[in-house]
Amino acid sequence: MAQIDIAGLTKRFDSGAAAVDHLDLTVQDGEFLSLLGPSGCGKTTTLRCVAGLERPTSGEIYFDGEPMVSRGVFVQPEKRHMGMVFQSYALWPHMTAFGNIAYPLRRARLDGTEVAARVAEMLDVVGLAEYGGRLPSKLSGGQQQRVALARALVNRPQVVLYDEPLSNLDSLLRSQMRREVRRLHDALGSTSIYVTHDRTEAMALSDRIAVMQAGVIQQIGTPREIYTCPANRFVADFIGFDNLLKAEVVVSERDGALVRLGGDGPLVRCATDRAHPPGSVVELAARAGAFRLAPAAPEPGQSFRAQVRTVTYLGEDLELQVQAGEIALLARIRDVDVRAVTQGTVPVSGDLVNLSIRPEELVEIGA
Amino acid sequence: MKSAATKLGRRRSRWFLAAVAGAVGLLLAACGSGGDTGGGGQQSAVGAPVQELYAAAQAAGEDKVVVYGIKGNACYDRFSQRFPGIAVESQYMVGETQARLEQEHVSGQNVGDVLRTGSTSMLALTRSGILTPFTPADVEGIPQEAWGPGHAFVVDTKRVAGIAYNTAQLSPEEAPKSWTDLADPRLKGKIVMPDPTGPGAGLSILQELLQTGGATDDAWLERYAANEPALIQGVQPAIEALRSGEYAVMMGGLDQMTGPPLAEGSTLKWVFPVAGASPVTGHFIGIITNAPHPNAARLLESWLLSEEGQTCLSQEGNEYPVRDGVPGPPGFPALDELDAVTPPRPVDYTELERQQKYLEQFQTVFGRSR
Repeated sequence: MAQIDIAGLTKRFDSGAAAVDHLDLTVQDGEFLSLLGPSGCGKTTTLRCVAGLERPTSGEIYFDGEPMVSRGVFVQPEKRHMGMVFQSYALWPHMTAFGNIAYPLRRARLDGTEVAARVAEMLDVVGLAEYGGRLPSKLSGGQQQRVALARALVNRPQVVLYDEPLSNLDSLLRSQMRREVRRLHDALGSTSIYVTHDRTEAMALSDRIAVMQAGVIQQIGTPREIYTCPANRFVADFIGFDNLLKAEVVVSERDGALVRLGGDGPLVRCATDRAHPPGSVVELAARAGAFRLAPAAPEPGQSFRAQVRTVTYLGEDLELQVQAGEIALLARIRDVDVRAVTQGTVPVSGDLVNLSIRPEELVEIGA
Repeated sequence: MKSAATKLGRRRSRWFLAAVAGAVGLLLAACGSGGDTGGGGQQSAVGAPVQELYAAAQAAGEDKVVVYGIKGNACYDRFSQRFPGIAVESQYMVGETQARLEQEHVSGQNVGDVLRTGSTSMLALTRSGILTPFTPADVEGIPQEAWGPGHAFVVDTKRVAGIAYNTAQLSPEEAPKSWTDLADPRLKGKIVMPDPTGPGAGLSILQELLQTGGATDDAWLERYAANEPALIQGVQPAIEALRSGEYAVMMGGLDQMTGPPLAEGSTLKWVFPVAGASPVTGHFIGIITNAPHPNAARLLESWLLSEEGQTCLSQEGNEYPVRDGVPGPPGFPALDELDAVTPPRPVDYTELERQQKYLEQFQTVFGRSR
């Protein structure tokens, strides 16, 4: 339970390139914040600086106003009272579940009664109240992970750091463990920094997400803000907008604009809360799933004609690569919805289709 | 309640310790240290003689020392016989060592006392302060280049790579005799090795071969890679894959791990020395910061580096000792009798950079990375 303040954090390795570049970030007391980005973006280096595994080249880190890293100050990791959860957080094989969770408390020289009480509480919190006496070899993978989490959190660290802890798990176990992680965070009121490259994971877990690239925070916001209002092209692409488009404003409207996609593409309506003069260029983003098949003939601004290039059957959805003028688009439409419009036939390459998209789903990047 | 006699005893041993430390300090300075090439910036604390460490371990109630890294060996039993009351608990760790140790370190939940591994993650761990510099009292005969930065770790044994083959698959005539033989297209799909696309034995051996050059140059590497060797993480699993008959040939180091499967009557045979080059790789030992059994940890390292410990590692563990004057493993040629032995280099941060280049080269030529 601590506020983490990071100011001007820079880390340069021997090669000279800045892995983290003048990063400023405040993680609120009790917040769950994810650092999200591709490999090499600086998220792990940032975490390692907070952990004390790396010495920053410059910058400061404070926990609740106490300097962990500042001019002349470098507090050793074990004195920062943190919990750390890595990918391989294997249990100590010769200790029972109880023993594993108790170990950090015993190291801290808590008395036996208190140790027993705190371990029992943690076992309960992770749903393993009856399993304390089991050795790790007698626990399932998921149970072991929960014991490992409990162990990391049992002495109520003020800050908990996660470094892609779930990336080795199969997807079912991953979803289950994700819920455990958040549940424990809420139950214990920790301040958590979670590093991941998986946007779904970041969105499911976080109060806020900081999207990083090239050592810099590209955008920080709630999952909804990041998902619906990407600040720039990188974020839009990374967070899953399949279509990134330049468009020319034809008419500025309330809450939006009528635009022409590309130079000679279709007219569509987009959402924006900025006023753009006609003729100005805007950058837009749309998810493949935002497009619909429109039944009627195209109506400028409401729907538009496009030619199908490829069709891929995904089971639930049909994925269509289409061309509208010079603009290539990716659409993913529910198979049942497509066939409802086409009276059962599936479009094939070369067919012309009418597409529509709601203005709210065609967002201006950085608006 | 400590008695006056004990207090006096302690004062005496502190004096003794200081005297020893001073003497050893002078000795090291006179030898002309290779310099502190980085590391945590700490001065290496010089240890007390083993009997002092043993007494300190007993006084502190330390009844074991937990070793992370390579598998246990006969010398651990010998250690416990020599120092009754201190058991060695060995936990095999491969591939995840750095992450595990970082986690224990950051969360303050230390279980491991000593790390023994061939991996250059020792350097990364040194940089993060996870290994505590330590110089045993008796280090005469340990060469300068055996020491990591600031004495945060040290080579305790050396391995020379060779080739093992499965006699059920290849006759002695068919078996490869040289490194160039491994690039022979008739061995395509039949070779296994510890994965060189990440830290470990495979990376170290290939790196040494390429640094030796000559017949084992970049062109040789391309031809070898074209034979599509199977890359398996860990020497032990690689040997198992060879023993199972899945592969015919393995490149690796012979030591107390690979030795037993190659014993008399086994289907596995060892080609050693291998013509053309003798890649020598070091195995390291280091004291983990905040070890729960710090005296026992230092005792184990001190003993393993002593003449007695080195002799055990050589005679019973089949490993080449690092200490001068200790005979090599029985039945093995002396190091100076081997072809093109890699000249010893200091293990410092330039090694990390050098290794990084090779790592990237191997990831490219084998088309994958761990």
